[in-house]
Amino acid sequence: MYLGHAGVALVLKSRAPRVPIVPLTLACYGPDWIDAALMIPTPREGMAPYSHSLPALAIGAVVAAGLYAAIARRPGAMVIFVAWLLHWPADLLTGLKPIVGLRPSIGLDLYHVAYADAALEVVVILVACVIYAQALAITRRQRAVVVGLAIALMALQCAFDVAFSRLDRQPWRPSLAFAR
Amino acid sequence: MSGAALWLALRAPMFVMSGVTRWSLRWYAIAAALLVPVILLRIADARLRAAR
Repeated sequence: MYLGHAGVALVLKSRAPRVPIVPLTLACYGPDWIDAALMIPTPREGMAPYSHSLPALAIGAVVAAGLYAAIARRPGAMVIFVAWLLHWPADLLTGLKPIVGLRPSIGLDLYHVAYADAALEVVVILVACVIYAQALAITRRQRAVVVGLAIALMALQCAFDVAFSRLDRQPWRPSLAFAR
Repeated sequence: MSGAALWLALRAPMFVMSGVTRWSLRWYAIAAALLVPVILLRIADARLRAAR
């Protein structure tokens, strides 16, 4: 999932308004940041168990919550913990994610069905923006800000899906539907 | 997050110096793709508070 994670961050922000949006968003994308960091300085295959497996997810969530508590010194570490953990179920819809090691990887792999991925993530973004607006946007100007954000996120998601479908032409292989 | 940021800040220049390769360009694209939602949400949140 790409901008659906931003939707998760917005929902969590609406439930915990005192948690700053930047650490919250970083936590929602935490496993992806680990993945990107592990690819420096050379590309390496098979790094997903260190970023997206369930044990890695649990360790990352604890470390992120601990860092937040130590640095920010304010309530909200549990929200950061939950934000990191929610990355995995969200990714399960759009990609193939490891449980412990590289095999088995499970998921609906909607990244390879661009229209389905765009539709799903647009719905997630829309629902998240409605929840965010209901909680935090009281005035008309504030609601306009949320509408602008929703349009930007949806446009970006559609651009991502178009680009991804051009760059990665692998077939759709949902692991819940086919024996591997 | 500052520890991770420091680690990235120290390693990123080495990565840049290793040359602009097809791989490094791909990495920059991934990093940019991860930064964009953070920036968008930060801007929206700031504007929301300013619009009170």
